[in-house]
Amino acid sequence: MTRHRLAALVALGVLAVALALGPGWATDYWLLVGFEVAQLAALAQGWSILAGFGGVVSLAVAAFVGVGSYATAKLSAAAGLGLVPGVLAGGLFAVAFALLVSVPMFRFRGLYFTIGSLVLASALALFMSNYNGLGGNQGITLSGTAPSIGAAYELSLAIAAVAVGSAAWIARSRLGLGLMAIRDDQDVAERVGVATFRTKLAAFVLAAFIMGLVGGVQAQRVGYVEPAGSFALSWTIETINAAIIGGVGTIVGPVLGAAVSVALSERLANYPELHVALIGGLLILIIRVAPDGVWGAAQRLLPRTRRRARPGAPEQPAAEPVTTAPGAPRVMTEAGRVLLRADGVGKTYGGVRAVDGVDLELRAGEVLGVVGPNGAGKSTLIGLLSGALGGDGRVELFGEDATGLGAAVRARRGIGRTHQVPRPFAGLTVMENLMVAQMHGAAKGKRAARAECRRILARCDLLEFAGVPASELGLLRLKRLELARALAVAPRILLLDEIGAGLVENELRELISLIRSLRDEVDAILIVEHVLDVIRECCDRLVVLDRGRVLVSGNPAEVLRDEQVATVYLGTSGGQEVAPPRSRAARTDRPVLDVKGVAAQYGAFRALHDVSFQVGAGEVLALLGSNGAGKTTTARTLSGMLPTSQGEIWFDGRRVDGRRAHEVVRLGIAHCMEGRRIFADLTVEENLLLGARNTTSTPERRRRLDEVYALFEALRERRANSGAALSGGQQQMLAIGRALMAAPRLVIFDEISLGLAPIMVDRLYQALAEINGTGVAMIVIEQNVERGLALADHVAVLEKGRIALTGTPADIRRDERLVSLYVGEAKGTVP
Amino acid sequence: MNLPGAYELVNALIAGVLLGGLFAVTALGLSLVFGVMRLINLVHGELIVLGAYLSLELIRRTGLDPLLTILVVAPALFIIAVPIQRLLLEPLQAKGPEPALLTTFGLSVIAQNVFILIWSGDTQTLKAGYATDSLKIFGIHVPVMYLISFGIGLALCGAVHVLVQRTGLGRAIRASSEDPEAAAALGVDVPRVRIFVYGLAAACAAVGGVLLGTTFDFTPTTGLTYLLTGFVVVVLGGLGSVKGTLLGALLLGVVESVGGAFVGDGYRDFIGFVAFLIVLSIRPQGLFGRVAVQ
Repeated sequence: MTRHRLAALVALGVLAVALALGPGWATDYWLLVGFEVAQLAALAQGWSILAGFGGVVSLAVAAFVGVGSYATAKLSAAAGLGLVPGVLAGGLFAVAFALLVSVPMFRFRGLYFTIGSLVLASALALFMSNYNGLGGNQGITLSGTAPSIGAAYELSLAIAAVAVGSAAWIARSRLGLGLMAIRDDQDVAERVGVATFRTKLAAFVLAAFIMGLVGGVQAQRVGYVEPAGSFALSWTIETINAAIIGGVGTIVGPVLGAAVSVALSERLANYPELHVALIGGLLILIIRVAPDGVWGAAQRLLPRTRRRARPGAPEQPAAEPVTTAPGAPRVMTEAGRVLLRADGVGKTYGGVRAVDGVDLELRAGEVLGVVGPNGAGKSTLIGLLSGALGGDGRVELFGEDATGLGAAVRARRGIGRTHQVPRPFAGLTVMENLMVAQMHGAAKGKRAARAECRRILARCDLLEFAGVPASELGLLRLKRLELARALAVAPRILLLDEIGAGLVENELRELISLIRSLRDEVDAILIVEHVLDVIRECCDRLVVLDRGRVLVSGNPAEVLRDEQVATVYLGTSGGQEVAPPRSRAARTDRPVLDVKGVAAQYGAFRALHDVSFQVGAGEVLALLGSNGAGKTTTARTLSGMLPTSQGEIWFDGRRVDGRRAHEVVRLGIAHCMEGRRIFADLTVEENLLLGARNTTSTPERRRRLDEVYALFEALRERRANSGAALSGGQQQMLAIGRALMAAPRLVIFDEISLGLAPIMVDRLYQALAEINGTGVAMIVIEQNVERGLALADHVAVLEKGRIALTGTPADIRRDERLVSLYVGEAKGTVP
Repeated sequence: MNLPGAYELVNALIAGVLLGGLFAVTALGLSLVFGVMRLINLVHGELIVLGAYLSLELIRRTGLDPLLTILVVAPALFIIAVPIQRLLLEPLQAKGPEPALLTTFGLSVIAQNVFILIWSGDTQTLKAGYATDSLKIFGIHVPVMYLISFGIGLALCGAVHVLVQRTGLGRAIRASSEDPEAAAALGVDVPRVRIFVYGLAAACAAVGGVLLGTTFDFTPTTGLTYLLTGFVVVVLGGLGSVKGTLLGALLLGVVESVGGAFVGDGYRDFIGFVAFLIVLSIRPQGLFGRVAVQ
């Protein structure tokens, strides 16, 4: 124990004794104030446990206070229960009430829970004021004399101490970690083994107990209860105000907030409305300027104050040596035993069979690859196997039927999975992300878990980011975090969903060797992947899915040579690059876009440094580089989504930087964003029309629509369908068409081939060539270098946020630096 | 519990449907804001009540008919709401749902107390000659105000539905609600769309305030009741859908009215709330909704 910590504990002890001895030295007035502060502090802390850690904003404080009050009053009046037992009974009744309502209430998530809690509290208040039992509107008078202010003070002080102590314990416990994971992403929390219902229930019950106790003391102190007072919304209002003003999710904050609130109400005792209105104003101000409350702000201003220790926080950075070797040799299941068996599993989404009766076996010691065109049902299959989705058919895990089991149970039994689009717990650090999986999914103790997490992080090359919030990681590292977190549930079976997507050659090499080394740690691996190098080098067996069914399965090399597979997946050109013929008539040397020394940053992280390049009218610039090199950041900066911190951007004689995205579009720069971003609420045609906001002329809109439909006939046929009803390739067509609807003179295409089967990519690049033929200049961001080079007039290669190389495609092909970065990359997606 | 006869039941049914029109007006703004901004606008009830108070002032000063004051009060609420969204809520948009939610909570607390300071806690009503009249249709007495509220509710829902589903602005509204960044990349000025929607929601609330102030009475804290019935309507009907809001409102009106006929008028809202909790725990996406918002 450090000297600082000892001193703090001694000070805390002295304070506690002094407060507890209050009735010996303080006047009745100050005891009353102390009583009020302690009551409010206990409530605020109870609320803060739910809201701060679990992200559950409850507006039902009054309901629990009221139940506690009534239980205490009724038991006192009817059974003559004494002071302390009566108050305890209040707490227990509130717990019982919490258990009762938890089943329906926890079906609501997020904002729904908030609504539901307010409706619940109001329904209870309404019922009590209409119900004729329990004293009706008159209420109940307690038997015996009310406790002295000293006794009430001591009692509420004890409750506040319990509340603060619980919060301090939760902040460091497995429970707290689980709550924070639920707060960030409940589905994923479940998938790494957090028993979400039980975890939330524990916090809910604890908060209810504290609130019930406060209600009990209140009933004893006042001597009677009535519906209008016990269930009054003001309990909820004051509690939330105090918690937020002080600082939600902190240990001291809610106490501080209670003190501020009571102090203000004493000052304005004669103007109750003014007081409440002022507190409301203070609340709004605090949310705006200091979201972590007065206490959080004070901590930030006093850098010497120790930040509260969370379970995942590395205690001493790099104190212990970390081995990157595989963990202790574990007993592997005897090779060949069936670990996972799917019998006719299926899933229907709005009439479409995403997965249609798939039979699958995964044996110990095996790495099974799953490929197929987009929309073949690969990710859905992972969802069905991991328990994230419910469907039909039967799933057997490790020899037992697992069909009805949820994701959390399957994770605890040894299923680790990644997500195609990373879903980190954004508010937790990288280390904490893994700790959730270790402590819940793998059920490890804190110390052992921390050592194991460090080992996994080292293996996935993330150790230096252990203390970094996951929200600050880039895509590449988020993908590694997905893998690391899946490993942290100590899985026997790993389900990997496209972890190779978007990686360039050297990154793929690392990934392949990592997957190979995992064969010694997990019993079996299932890999869904578009990057065929990964399949070829890692898998023992390959399954091809098409429209939700197994098309072919067997030896990977043989399967990839299969003609059926070539037709549905690889495309008739066999994925060979097509260099489409183009008219070069519209080309001039006059630059339409001029980027001069641009820098940009995300928070403190500088993503672009001194980037300069030009694009001539009607010209195609290919923007290449590895992941995290700054390609998408460049695109976002050009289109006004990310402000520049230095430099200038000129388009057609007009300054672009400093304008917001919707203004940049109107200047003539369209941005076809990474990930398609189709609006499911809008029809295909409405998606397109949204892109034509810079014209008010109906014939003009009609003309642009017809141009897009001429380019993509498939869109015309589906013009009245929802954007969500399209296949991946059609969605990409729609995204391209939508960008064209603004009649732009420059379009930025960001990764249009990502996640698409080669045959579809051929089709899209032909379309790009046609668009360019009409004189539209382009910036093409592409991970598939050959695709980019085939279309480009000029190339710029980004490296670590700087332009490393520029030239014509011929120059670039000869350059050593490109070769070292991308050698063989084009083979990555093509057999 | 006293079992009502067939006459009382039919009466309650009709009154319920008509009352549903009023519920639709008071819930419409809540639904819009929830649908587009994913924000539970806890100050919505106070916006309704403010509409009623402004109408009251106008009637006192000019002697206008309550229904005519809508023409002044609705634009006034639009103008009052714009800076709330622009200065207080919009800057919090990027920080997740809680900060904005709690800001509206703070606004609601302030508004209630300011109402008490200005207009005292007394019960008020907007006086109109026809407010207490009732028509006799097929032997059943129907209060005129119920009919008027129903008509205005239907018209307002229809107008907002057309705006959202059939116009360019509506496309921008729907796109902004689904993926603000992608909408901006296509040229939609998203903050402006949000400000407009918030203003429109407040204007709808004002219409609701005038109607309820004429039909019933109100106090500074009446807003809570209409906020809650608004929730019930919006969630029953499915989020962000105008059609769903109308259906949810009619359903709630009938449930409350018929339920009230069975167990007593004091339990009306209680019945609605309990129905809400039961329905939602069985169908978290609402009765008419397709997908639940996480």
